[in-house]
Amino acid sequence: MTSSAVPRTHTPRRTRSWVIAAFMTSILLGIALIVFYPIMLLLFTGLKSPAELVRNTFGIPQSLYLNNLIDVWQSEGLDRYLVNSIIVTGGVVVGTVVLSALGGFGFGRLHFSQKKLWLTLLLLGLVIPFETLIIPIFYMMRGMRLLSTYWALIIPQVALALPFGILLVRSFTVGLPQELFDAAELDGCNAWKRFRYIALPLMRPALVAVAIFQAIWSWNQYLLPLVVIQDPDMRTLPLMLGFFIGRYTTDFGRLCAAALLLFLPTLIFYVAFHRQILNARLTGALNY
Amino acid sequence: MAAPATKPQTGPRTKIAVTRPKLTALARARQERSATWFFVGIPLAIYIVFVVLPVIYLISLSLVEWDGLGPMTFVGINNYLRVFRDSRFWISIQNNLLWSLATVVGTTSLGLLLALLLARTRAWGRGFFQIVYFLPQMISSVVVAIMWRWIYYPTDGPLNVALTTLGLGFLQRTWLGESQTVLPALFIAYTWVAYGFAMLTFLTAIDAVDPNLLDAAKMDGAGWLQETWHVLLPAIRPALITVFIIMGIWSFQIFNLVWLTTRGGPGYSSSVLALQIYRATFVEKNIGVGAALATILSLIILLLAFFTLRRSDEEPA
Repeated sequence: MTSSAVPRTHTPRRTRSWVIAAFMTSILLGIALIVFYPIMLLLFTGLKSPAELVRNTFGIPQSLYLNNLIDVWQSEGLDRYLVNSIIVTGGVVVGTVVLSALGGFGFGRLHFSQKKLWLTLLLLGLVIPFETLIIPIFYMMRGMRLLSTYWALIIPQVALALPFGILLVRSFTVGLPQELFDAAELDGCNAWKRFRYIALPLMRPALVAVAIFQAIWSWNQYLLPLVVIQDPDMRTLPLMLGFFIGRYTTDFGRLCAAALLLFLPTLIFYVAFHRQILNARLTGALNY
Repeated sequence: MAAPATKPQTGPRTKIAVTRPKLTALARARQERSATWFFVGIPLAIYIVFVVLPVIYLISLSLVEWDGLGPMTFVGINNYLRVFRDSRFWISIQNNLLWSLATVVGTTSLGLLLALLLARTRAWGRGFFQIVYFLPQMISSVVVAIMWRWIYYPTDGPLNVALTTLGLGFLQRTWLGESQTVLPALFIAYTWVAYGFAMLTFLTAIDAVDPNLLDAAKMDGAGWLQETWHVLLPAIRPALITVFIIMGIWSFQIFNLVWLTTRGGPGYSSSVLALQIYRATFVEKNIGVGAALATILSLIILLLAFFTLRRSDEEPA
């Protein structure tokens, strides 16, 4: 796997290059199998009966055992947490996209005083670690009597996503030709119309990117619910899963089954939107 | 703004008024201002109330003694002094530094290897492999924690069973339960999560390298290794530095994975700064100390981020 094993590529002979390509591809495939194995293990373990898990730790389940999934789903009433997660993720995505669209247009296309200062202030929000903000946010939410509500989960996530969202959308609107807006203005378009009919259609790719990243981030969010949710009924799926680790400690069949329920939507989403997610310019936003 | 592009933007507003009826200009200015309030004011207000004010609130909390319920007493920098005298703080800082070092080395080497294999050899299926390799980065930290707890599980977890099967049973460990193995075990799990970012960053940088540069090296008779080492790596230096800094930032923020696997244990051997913040604030109810720790963490991250920002100013991508 070391680079010394890699043949030189500067002799372009047809037959040799075919062999080299096959060789390289098999190396990549080997690494892919190793990287992918923990995920497969999660799937296998979740679908094995406890008896089989002892006999067959690594392999594919010999018989499909769905009791883990069914048990965990029914005895814990996971549908409730699933609904919570969907509501929160949906709310965060909608809020972030709408406000990023407004702000991205405002910062990119409108003229107002101290714009640089406000932009710098936004930039600051890109680097404030969430782990530190959680303290004041908890006491603010408590003061507003919002603990254990959807608001306590949605508002802070939206607010913290705005720097990324606004700056990304702004980088789109700033580059649009000024003539477009001048012409619209001469036709009597006010700022709202210029936003709605000219900028909005053009900044769609940026908004889609914001929505995708925000969806993943919010769906996986663990720390915020851990702190602001005290009512068990308001827990989100990741938070509930965190509690399972303590409750089922060594019952890995059930734990892995529950983890699958959180992971599968992510997987489907990732496969559907891999093009936008793999745009390397944006992946830094996937803060873990 | 209303002036044609040829006019200097800094020109006084009255210039515009000359070319248009006065009332319209006034109305337009007013409209522009209310538009600004709408487009900029609303998002900015939410951002200020829920991000900027909390930062100020956090700093002021770090100067008081408070249990979260009773009255607050102003204690100045006492909380910071307490933090600096606490050995748990220094253990955590040390662990964060080790964490950065390990993940920088791990993600950079794995990311670079994969990026080179994908971009610089004739392997097939680059698009497919890219999707597969990046997948771990998508997975929720709770799922990652469950996965690796199982892999490292002492009695019949896959790793120990594999060691026994291979006849290496003497190497068996309680991977997450011994202070010598817990950090390396977590580093491996975290590298598995985070290398995808490094790979993508390198891949983009390698694709952007001028092919003429590499051709010239080839003309001079450079082999694959020489070409990579002497031409390609210097060319993607900015990407390397970006990965170093981002990994440093992420490593100092790490919380979920540690909290969900070891809670900082055994003892404090896998404790990190973010975990100390959570523990001081929400478990020990020492909000002042938690806030002081959080302020220190913010300053560290800010410092690291400052380098990134300054760099991106110098080299606009």
